[in-house]
Amino acid sequence: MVNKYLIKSLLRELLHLKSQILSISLIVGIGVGVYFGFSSTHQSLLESRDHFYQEYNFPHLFAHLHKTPNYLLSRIKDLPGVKDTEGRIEHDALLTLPKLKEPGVVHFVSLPNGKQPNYSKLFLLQGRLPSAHSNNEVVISESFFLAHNLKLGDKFSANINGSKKTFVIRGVGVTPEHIIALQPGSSFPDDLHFTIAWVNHSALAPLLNMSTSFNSLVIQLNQPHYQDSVKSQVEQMLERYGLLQLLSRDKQMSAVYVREELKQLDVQAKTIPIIFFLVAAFILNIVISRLIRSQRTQIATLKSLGIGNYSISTYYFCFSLVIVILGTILGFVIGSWIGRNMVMLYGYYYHFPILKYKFTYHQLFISLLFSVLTAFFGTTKALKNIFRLSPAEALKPPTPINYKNKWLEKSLFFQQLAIQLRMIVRGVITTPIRSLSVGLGLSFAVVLLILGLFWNDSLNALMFSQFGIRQKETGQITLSREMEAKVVKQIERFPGILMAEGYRSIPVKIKFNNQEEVSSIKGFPVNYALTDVINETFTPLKIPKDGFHISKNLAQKLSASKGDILEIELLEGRKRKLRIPILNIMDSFYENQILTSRSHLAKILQTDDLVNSILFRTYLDPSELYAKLKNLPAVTSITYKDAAVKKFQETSAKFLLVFAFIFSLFAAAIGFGITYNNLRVTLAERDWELSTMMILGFRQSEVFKTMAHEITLLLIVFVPVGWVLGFYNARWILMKLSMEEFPIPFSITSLTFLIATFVIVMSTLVSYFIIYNGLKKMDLVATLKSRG
Amino acid sequence: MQKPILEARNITKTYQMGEVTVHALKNLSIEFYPGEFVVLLGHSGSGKSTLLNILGGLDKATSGEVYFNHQLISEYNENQLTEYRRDSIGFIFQMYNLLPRLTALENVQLVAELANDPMKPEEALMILGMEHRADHFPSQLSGGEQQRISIARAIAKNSPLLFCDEPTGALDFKTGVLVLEALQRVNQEMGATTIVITHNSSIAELADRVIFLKDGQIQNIKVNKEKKSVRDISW
Repeated sequence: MVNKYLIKSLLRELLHLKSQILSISLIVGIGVGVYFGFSSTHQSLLESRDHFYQEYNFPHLFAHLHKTPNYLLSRIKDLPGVKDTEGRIEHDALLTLPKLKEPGVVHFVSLPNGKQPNYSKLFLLQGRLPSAHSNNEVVISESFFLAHNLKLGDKFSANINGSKKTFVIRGVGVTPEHIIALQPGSSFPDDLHFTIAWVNHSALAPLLNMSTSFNSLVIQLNQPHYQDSVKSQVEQMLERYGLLQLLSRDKQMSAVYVREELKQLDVQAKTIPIIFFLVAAFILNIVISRLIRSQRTQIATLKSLGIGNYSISTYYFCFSLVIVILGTILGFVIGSWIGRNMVMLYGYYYHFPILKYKFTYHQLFISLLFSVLTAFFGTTKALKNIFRLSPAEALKPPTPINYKNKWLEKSLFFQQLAIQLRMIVRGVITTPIRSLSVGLGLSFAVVLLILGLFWNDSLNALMFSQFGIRQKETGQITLSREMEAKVVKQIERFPGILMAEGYRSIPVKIKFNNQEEVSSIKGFPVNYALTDVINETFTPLKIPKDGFHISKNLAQKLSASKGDILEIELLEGRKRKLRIPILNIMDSFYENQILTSRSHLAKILQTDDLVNSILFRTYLDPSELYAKLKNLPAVTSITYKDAAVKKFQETSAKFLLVFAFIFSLFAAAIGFGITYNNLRVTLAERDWELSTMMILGFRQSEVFKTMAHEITLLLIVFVPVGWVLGFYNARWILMKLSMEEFPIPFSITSLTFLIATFVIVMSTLVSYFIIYNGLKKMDLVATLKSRG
Repeated sequence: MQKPILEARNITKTYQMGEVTVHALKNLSIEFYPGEFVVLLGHSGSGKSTLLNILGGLDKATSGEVYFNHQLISEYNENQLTEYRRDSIGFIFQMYNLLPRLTALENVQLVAELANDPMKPEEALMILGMEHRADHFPSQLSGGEQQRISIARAIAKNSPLLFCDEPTGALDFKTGVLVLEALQRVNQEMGATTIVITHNSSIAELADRVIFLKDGQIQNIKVNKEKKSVRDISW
């Protein structure tokens, strides 16, 4: 048992070492804070999502089709495993808003007149649903509404099937299907130029001549495990009507984004804190070992008074425990701050109707458990010395450390070193565990910094590939149907258009080796100038004249290689099936793609040379070009890359800056904590030696260098170790977190390594500064007397 | 008449120990001359260590002045005091205070590098008969050996003052004799003013002058007309 006098002594000890304790508690606190903050955010988002999915009937399957007659709905409903179906009309149209100069796109989704749909119900944030007989009232998505500072009652017009129609905004809402509102084919949410608009079926159907048909279908299953059988039956049934895409809930774009974000949070919550707990354990080991060494006489006295090893060990373990518990309390405060702010930040991008910050007792318990384990692993090794120490031996002064290292002393290089440097090297080498702990701690701080900074590099690489080299065009026009290639020439003749290039994209289902993937074949002109076909080193790829290249990630998914023959089912037109040989695997980091020349595509499809997208380059102001093109009936959307880039950069820059700043602070805390504690221990252990040097005539700065440069030496050795670990860790994390649908190229620039090094060096310098001031205050005579 | 190399004038040192004011030195004046071997003798608490600390620039007097070569060192700041110790004093400690991460030779080399006109470190070891232990670390040496390395370190700087704080305090008689012999020889051969503090009155017989301290004051000064050799004393 630890008696009350030992507790008093413990409290005094803690007070005496308060600055060291606080620095360790801070590191534990950040570890707990990151775990608690990220996992509680994860929990909050997960619960909000699941609640939203359940309460607002997020369906199991989504089908996109060509125009399909309504009577098929009941047939599908009768299929075994299907609980219910609901047909809708979805349509993309060019949008005109007085405030919006650039091209915008509205994605219409039909509603049962004046009513909520049965599935993917609308959560109204403001206003109301369109009234039953209205043909111009809409509910729009929140992000667009907020981005343009719109009010209920505001109007916009849309070009639907060649006719311009004005709509009145009556409500603002969100469905489980559009938690992230993404324009089809786009990788980034663009709140300024894209909105969803829910409109009465009776308002949309006549414009598209679809009063008795639908082009979007949602299916609710009796049980999720019916999914595969229902999918194949629905595919069979709808084949001849032109099924474009049949997605399960887990492949639905918004759901994918939310799920990936949740995955990222979960991975981060489970990986990043480990760094902090490890570093805290390293420092605890250094500090407790030092405490036990300096108190060997007291320990011996206690032992000779009959206090057992376990009681004495409990005393020191309690010392660690107090530190980590302080850290855990601090961590809860940091974590709940991180969590609340992250949930708020997510609220801007993920439109959950109810998003409340929540945490569970389980998370509190896990945080506490990790802290106690940190105390345990950080103290155990040091505590073993208590058991080893016999009272008689402990009452004598400790055996001096033998600094003789045969290998080192014999090395020619070592013999060439200045005497002070030899002292430093011996100091590092003769305390290997401590040196390794400090060194690895510094490496981990670098790892953490690289983790916080490399996202910027990777996203810059992405932007460069997407919008720098990759897209030489100013923008892209998407056509509502395939048109003859001469339309490209027509567009090129518009005044102000410098160049235009058309390509054709055909949705396909690929089968190989019992693997099945939905992808697209893209046909480009052989001598392309604006197109986006590049490999991982940003070199343009040659388009095969009469063969097919497939992207590396698609080949990997299918386990296919060069020369293999893929079974392709065209998802448009007559649903033809083809067998195509793979001519080459493209080292491209872009999503599942099959590439060929446009003429070859026309040949195998037995059609004329058609296009459905046109890339263009222009010097025109977006609003001028938009005014010229938006009235073309076949134009579904015009995207201007500058607008997309600007928006993406604004959004990502805000996130990345906060992310990098927080990680830099955390890493600086580690760098400071580990160097400060090690220097404090060194100062306490070597006070006698340092005083001697000062009495012998060494200046304070010279004396300080002999202790501080042990850390400098460790920095020189272990920061590069941190670079290597940081590089591989960042690559691993990116691999873990990257979405299949939207891979981010891995990139780290030398600036990132430089900043990481700078932050660690600066945090070390701060600890140098504090300890140097401590050295100045050292009472030389008192220090010598205390040992004499 | 020879001019003093080191001089303390009207030194008083008081400090607080809890609520009690301790008068460690009371208006003490003393002069030290070049090349002389002086022993400061007194019991514990007599003020001898305090005096040595003030003379060595490790502590400041509450009042009074200290001159080294007619320079008023008692007014020096920390940096100037460091330079004073660096250039002018060789210290020998009771517990030897060798740096544990340096070999015997390196301990001497390190300090020799500080001096303007040092002796060769190997030569300093040779004078003390320790050249065969040059590559040994302090942990591999006996107490007497460590103290002799400590003396080699102090003399390697060729400094005019040699301050020895109980140099035989931690040694047995036999080893103590070896160390004192070394000190006496160094004083005679190198001519550095050597000030030894001790409570061992036998050592006083080796000195040119013995200064008896009691309660922070000089009780008596004895000049040894004939100094004894180390072999002739015992304790």
